[in-house]
Formats: sequence, C-alpha cells, structure tokens
Amino acid sequence: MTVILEARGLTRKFGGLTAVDNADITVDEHALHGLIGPNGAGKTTFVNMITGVDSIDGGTVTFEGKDVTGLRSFHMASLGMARSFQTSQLFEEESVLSNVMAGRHRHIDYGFPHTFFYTPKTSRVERANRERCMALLEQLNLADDAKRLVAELPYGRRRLVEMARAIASEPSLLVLDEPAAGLPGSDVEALGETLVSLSKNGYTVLIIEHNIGLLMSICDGLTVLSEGRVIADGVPSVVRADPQVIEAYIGRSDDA
Amino acid sequence: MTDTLSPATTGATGRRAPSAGNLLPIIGVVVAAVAVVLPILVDDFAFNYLMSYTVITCILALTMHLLMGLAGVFSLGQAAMFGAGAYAAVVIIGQTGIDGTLGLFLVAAVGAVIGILMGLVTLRTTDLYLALTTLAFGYIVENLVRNSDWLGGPQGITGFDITFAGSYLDEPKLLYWVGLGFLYLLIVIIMSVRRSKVGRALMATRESPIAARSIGIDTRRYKLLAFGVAGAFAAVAGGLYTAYALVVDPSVFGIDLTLSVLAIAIVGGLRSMPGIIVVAIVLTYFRNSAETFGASQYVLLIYGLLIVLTLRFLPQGLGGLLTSPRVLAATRSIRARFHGGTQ
Amino acid sequence: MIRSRKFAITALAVLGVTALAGCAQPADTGDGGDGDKATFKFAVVAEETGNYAGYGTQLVAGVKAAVKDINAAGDYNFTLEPVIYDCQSDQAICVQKTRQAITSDELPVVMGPIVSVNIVPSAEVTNRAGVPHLVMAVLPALTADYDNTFRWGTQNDRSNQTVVDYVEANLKPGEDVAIVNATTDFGKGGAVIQTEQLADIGVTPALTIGHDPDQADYTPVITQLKELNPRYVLLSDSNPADVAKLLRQAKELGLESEWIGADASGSIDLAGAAAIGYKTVSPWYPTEEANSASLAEKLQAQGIEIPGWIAAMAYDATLGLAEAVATGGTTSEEIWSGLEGLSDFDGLARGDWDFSKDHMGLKSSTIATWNGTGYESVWPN
Repeated sequence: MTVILEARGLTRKFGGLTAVDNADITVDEHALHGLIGPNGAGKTTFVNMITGVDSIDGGTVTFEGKDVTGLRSFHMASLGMARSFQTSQLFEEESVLSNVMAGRHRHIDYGFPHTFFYTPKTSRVERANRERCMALLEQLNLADDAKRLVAELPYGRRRLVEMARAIASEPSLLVLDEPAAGLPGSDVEALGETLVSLSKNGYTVLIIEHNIGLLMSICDGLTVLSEGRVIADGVPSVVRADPQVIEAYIGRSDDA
Repeated sequence: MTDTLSPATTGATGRRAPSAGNLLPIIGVVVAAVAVVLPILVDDFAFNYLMSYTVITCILALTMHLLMGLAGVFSLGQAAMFGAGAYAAVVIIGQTGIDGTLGLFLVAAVGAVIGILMGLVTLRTTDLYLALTTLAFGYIVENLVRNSDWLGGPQGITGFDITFAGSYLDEPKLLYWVGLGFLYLLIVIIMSVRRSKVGRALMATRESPIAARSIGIDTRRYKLLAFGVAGAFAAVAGGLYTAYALVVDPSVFGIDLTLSVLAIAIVGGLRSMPGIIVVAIVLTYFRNSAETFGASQYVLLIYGLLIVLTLRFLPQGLGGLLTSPRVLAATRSIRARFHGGTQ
Repeated sequence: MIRSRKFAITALAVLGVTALAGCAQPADTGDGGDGDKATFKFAVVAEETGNYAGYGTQLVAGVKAAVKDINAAGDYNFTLEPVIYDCQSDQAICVQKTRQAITSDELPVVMGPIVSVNIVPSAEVTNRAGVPHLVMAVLPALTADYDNTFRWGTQNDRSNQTVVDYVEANLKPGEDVAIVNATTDFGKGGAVIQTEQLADIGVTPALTIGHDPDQADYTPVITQLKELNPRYVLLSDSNPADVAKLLRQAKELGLESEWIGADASGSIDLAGAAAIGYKTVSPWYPTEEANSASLAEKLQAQGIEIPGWIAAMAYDATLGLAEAVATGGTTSEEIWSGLEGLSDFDGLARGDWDFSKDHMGLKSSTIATWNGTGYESVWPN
C-alpha cells in the first residue's frame, strides 16, 4: 500500500506548554484512518499542523511523497488535502449549492478574461461544475436543500454540507475534525456508513474523534494521542488491547 | 448510500437564496439603453454635467460594493484611489498629453497599483482596524500630495484639458458617455465575477476565511484582487472628476466624499448593485437640488438619518428588499393573481 | 425591542417635522416689483450651508443688503435681483451651480463662492465661458490665472505689504520684528512674503518661528519671543483657535510685544480679554466711523450678528456691479467692460476701488486694533 501522508516528530509549543510532542502519523492511500484521544490530547493542534492551519515548531510533513512542512492551509488544500472543522465553518448566508461549488475552486481552471467577462467558456465550465455539485448533493441526500441558505439548516445537515464541500474538492486526503460531535446517536450511525462508503469509493479519510466506539468499528488504522504524545498506532483490534490506551481511557466507557 | 440524517424540510417554506427574476435582465438592458440616449433627450448643458457627475458617483459607489459587499473588506480608503486617479489623469492626460483613450487605462493602472499597495499594508487587519488603517492610508497619500510641489502643493493644479479620442472632456455629453462606458464595463465585470470562480472565492473570503483557505482559496490573493479592481475604477472615477471639476486639489482625498459614497452604498445595500445605482442617482440628484426642496441645511442630517434608518430597519439596504422573503412572496402572489386574471 | 422601535419612530417623526419646517421657510420675495423697470439678474454662488457656511452667509448678506439699498434708491433704470445658489461648501456642487447659473439659467455674471477649493474651479468654469466673475478670495493666483475675475477684496501679498508699511512707519531704531507662522500653506507663504517685503525696507526679522497647527501648548514659542522681546510679532496663521491660544499664552506669560495678524474670523471671540490690543489686517472693519457703522447696521439687518469683511466686500461688489451694468450694459462682455471702467469708485466699505489697470480692486488693506468691545482703525491714519 502507498503511504499518502506521513508526519514525523511534529511538535507544537504554546508558551511553556507542549501541546503536541514529537508525534508521528502515517496514513495509507484509500484507508479510513482514525486519530483518537481524550479531550485535550492535542488532536486538533496536531491536525492543524498537518493541514497548515497552525505553524509547526518541529518535525516534517510529507504528503503524496512531497515535503509540505510549513505550507499554508490554502496551499495544502490546493494540493488535495481538504478538511472540515470541529466548529462548523460554513458560508452561512449562501445557498448549500454555492457552498459546495466553492469547494471545487481548485478544479476550475479558466483564467483572466473568462472570470471578468462571462464568456461561453465560463458558462460551459460553470454549468458542468454545477451539475457535478448537484450530483454530489444528490448522493448525500442534500439535493432538496440545494437552494436553501445554510444558516437555516438543522445542525446535522450543516455538518453534512461541510463534508460535501470538502468532498467536492475531490481531495486525495479528506481530514474530518470530529464530524460526529453533537450528533444524536442515529445520525452518528449514518455518518459512519457515509464514511465507509467514501472509503469504498477510493477516498482516503483521516478522521479525528474522541468517540472511540465509532472509529473502532469502521477504521482501517488508528493513531492514539494522549497528552500530546502518540501512545499507540495500528489496526483497531491491536490498539484496543494496548494497556496504555486502556489507561488513557480509564473511567470512560467505550461508547461515551 | 443511505442517509438518515435529520430529514430535509421542504424548500417551499424556507428562505431561499436570492435569485433574479426573469424580468430583471430585460429591465436592466432597457434601462442601460435609455441611459445612453438620455443626454440627447434632455439636452441641457448643466444637467448633462450633473448626469456625468452622477455616473462618476455610481462608479465610485460600485467600487465600494465590490470591496465591501463582495469581498467583505470594510475599506474607507477609496478616496485615496479616487484622488490618486484625479492627479494621475491630470499628469498623464492633461500635462503629458496622452489621449484619454489610453490615458484613462493608465490612470486605472495607477489606481490598481495603489489599491494593491493599500491591500498589502492593511492585509493583516480586519474590521474596525482595517477601516481605520485604510482611512489612514488615505491621509498619508493626501499629505504626500499636499507636500509635493510638482503636484501643485495645497493649491492643486489648474489650467489643464482632459481629452478623449481627441475631443475635450469639458463637453458634458462626451464626459457622460465616457463615464457610462466605464460604468458599464464595471457592471459587466462585477456581474461576471459574481457568477464565476472569483466571485465564489470572494464570497468564501468574506463569509469564512478559515473555510476558504481549507478549500484551496488563497484569501490574500483575492482580497488584493478586489483592492486592485476597486482601485482601478475608483481612479478612473477620480480622473473623470477632474474633467468635471476642471481643477484638482488635495480636497479630492477628503473624507466627505468617502462618507457620502459610503452612505449611498449602505442605503442602497452593500450587496446590491441595482440598489446602489438607484440610490446613487437619487441621492446625487437630491443633494444637488436640495436647495429647491429647501433642504440644503439638512442634507447631512438626512444622509445620517438614512444610514441609521437603513441599518435599523433594512440591514441589507434598499437592494435587500428585492430579495427579502416577504417581498418575494408578495411579488409571487401578485404574479399569480395577474396570470390568473389574464388566462 | 418594542420600546426601541417606538423610540426610532418618534425620533424619525421629530426629525421629519424639523426637516419640513425647513421646507416651509418662506422663499425670498424679490424687492424688484416695479412694473416699468427691467430686472437685472445675476448669480451668487455661496457656501450658505456646510463647513464654510460662515463665509457664504456673509457673502449673501452683503449682496442682499446692497440690492435692497440700490432698488430702494431707484437711481438706475433697472432693478437688481440676485439669484442665489447654495453650493453647500462642496466643490462638485459649487462647480455644478456655477455651470447651471451661466448656461441653463443664462446669467451674465457670477459672484462667489469664497473658499479657494470652491472658487478656483468655479472661476475655471466662468473663464472658459467668458463670463465676468466677482471674487473676494485672498488667493493671489485667482486674478493672476483667470482674466475674467475681478477681485473685490485685498489679496494676501497686498495685506502683507500693508503690515510692512505700518511697521516701517512705527518701528524705532533698536526695536526688533519677529515672524510667527503656522506651518501651513497660508502661514508659510505669508512668512516668506513678509520676509521679502521687510528686506525691502531694510529690516531683517530677528526671529522666525514656524509652529504646527492645532498644538495644545505654545509656551515654547512664547518663551523664545520673550527672550527677544520684539516690538512687533507678525503672525501668519489662519486657524482661529491657534491664534487665540497664542494670544492667551502670550498674555499669561507676560509678553509685551504687539501682535499683528490676518483676520482669522472667530479668533477674537476665542481669545477673550487676551485679544485686547491685537492688531488685525483686513480690507474692512466695523468701527465707530460713520460709513462703517451704517454698513454694519445694514449687514446686521440681514441677519449677520458680527459683520465681517466678506459681507462688506460683497456689499461694495454689488454696488460696483450695478454701476457696471448701468454704464456698460447687461451682457457678459458689456458687464466686463463696465467693471473695467470702474476707477476711484466709491463703495460704502471702501472708497478707492480701481479696476482700470488690473482686476485687483484694492491697493492696500487696513489695520485695526481690537479694544475689547470694537475695532479702532490705526492704519492708514
């Protein structure tokens, strides 16, 4: 299997506090990889470093064989690393379709005259773009909401729109930061199915969760972070049995 | 794939994203055509000049629409580019003698460069800080000009002629048509941009810079693009203003101009091009004729009042009315009734 | 929510009523009702409202007072009717109103506006159209660049010359002159001209101090002056607040020099008792002298509380315009030549108007001392 993302020795310090300490992660192509850890373990900081949202104090990030350490987030995204956020970051006053179409930004390649003067080429590309996005919304069962403003959608559907926007960019790596947070149980189950189906369709997904139960059931690989350090890494069955992981999760039931 | 996420509510009752009716483009084209022949229909020297001033105001107000409404950059520095354009036009066209057909595009280039410079300087700031920094940028440019002897210092420059295609732009009809040409160019650009990749990138930058970057949008680049285009057209407006005012002095950088155009943009609706154009025309005419209404003492009071009332009752401005759910529902019901009656 | 909406509506109603009250002000009824006489209309473009309303209202008051007197006297075979355009202290509107006056409204002559950013483009408009233009601004460039302008006032360099003439007549051997100027265009320009003109009479200013406008504390300036203790301090500063601060601090620190400065309107009020003894240079003052007192009364009747030189100049300009129309005619060319025919013309403010050699109206200014309640003319004596 090809490795698509490899981070080595990533470190981030905030003042005297080391949020992430010398952490490694390896994600294989077409895998559904989980990054878990208790609250405050440094998961989001770790992912922010990988995706270029936060700066890196030490270590390297390799993406599709290229050294991408320290590149800014829009640059990472344009290389094919899309992500969602823990607290939703949507274009609230815009329609669902417009949100998702924006996600295809890196694939729309007409240049200067076609953006400033709406040429036949612009029209052609935009129509194709719209159709693709509608098809995606169709797949995610969002088509009925295509023209509604994001701001008035219920919470669960907003999370789905955010995922749709990231998927629309056809990323080679999709990073989802706690997509299940705040969802009721039935929705979490559906989310799991969506993720599995994404993976089957050839997507590589790195998913961050503190809900260990969800990931155990669907992931191909897991990395466990605790207090900024990686304490376990491997297939779910092995990670589950790791004494350090059990210790880190003491007092917590698996499906908390 | 199955989906049992929260069920979709039907779109019919929900608020829909704004969409233009079928009639609007036709109305737009008709209005644009009437605007072209208007000076022939109303052949009055002074009134034609007023029309050209209105067009200049429209251009400047639309640059604010582009920057604030589309890119979400609350810049108060448009006077810097307007003023720079005014001086650039006098130097390039009036003094060097390059004809306006080329000269006005050079003026636009000057404005674009200054706009991008302002963008670079203020890139790290947002909101109130950005407004203040851009305002300060305007003061800096004004002071540079005020202290430059070759630009006439505080007295400014007089005794120049702005030409376009060999004719003097002190002919108001010509000035109006040239201005209208640039206004239409700006309208076409804004309409195209809004429906294209760049428009979505500007929208994304405005609504959530973090999300924009997460889908590969270089927010800085698009902000600078907006500053550049807005700067270019603000400079052209400034250049045309010198043909209108016949002189140029540091007052072109004044805060008064920024504030009155800002009032137009807010009352018209920062996001709404038609709203801004209508309000620009009405307020420019009103201000000029305030005397006849006996309201000249109250002009600024009325401007302020309009801003307050707009922000209080119509946060999206008059243009927001076009897309407000209640008005849309009302037009739908009227249309339905109308169709019912004729069939 | 409900309360704030109610408040907003109330506020709107109150403001609406105020605005309507403005609309309801009665329009000016022209005095010229004489059926058998022709009416001569002329344009007055003035900053009646906005930032420079203080100047524009003086201009309009002067014109109205003169028109009233001329029409009442009935010496001419026409009645005068000013068409007043309020250009709201806005450059674009001042230009627009001037254009409207001479094209759409076909008026043959224009007076005003006052402030240089407004009068220059306005003069550019009339110049291109060949329309004579009566101006009051002090800017020398105006009559130099636009041959259609007729200056009813004293320009900067001639006011400064008046100051220097006064110094020459009164300075005793061993006494010093200092120059204090704002580092503005007006201040710096004035200081340069005064230095040159002083050199012509063999005086070198012992001290020249430039100060930035809008300072809170001018103690360093005053301290420097105290060390030298000059007889005269020539002040070039057009900011009334700064002039007042300088005068107050000079008095507090016991500087005994006499200050001579341009007429920055409002500075006397702001300086209060410290303004006593301050000499200002201006083409006209409201003094006890008969002509001046009667003019001041006429201007006050037009609603001007403290008549200034602009109103007085506008009064004389209107008298001159009527004379030019009577001798020349009513077209632009005839008015132009009529104005150029005015030599040794007697106004009420000044008796020495002369446009026969150049368009600069006055040769010199006058100097008066503020005595706490009024002006006392000190030069020419």
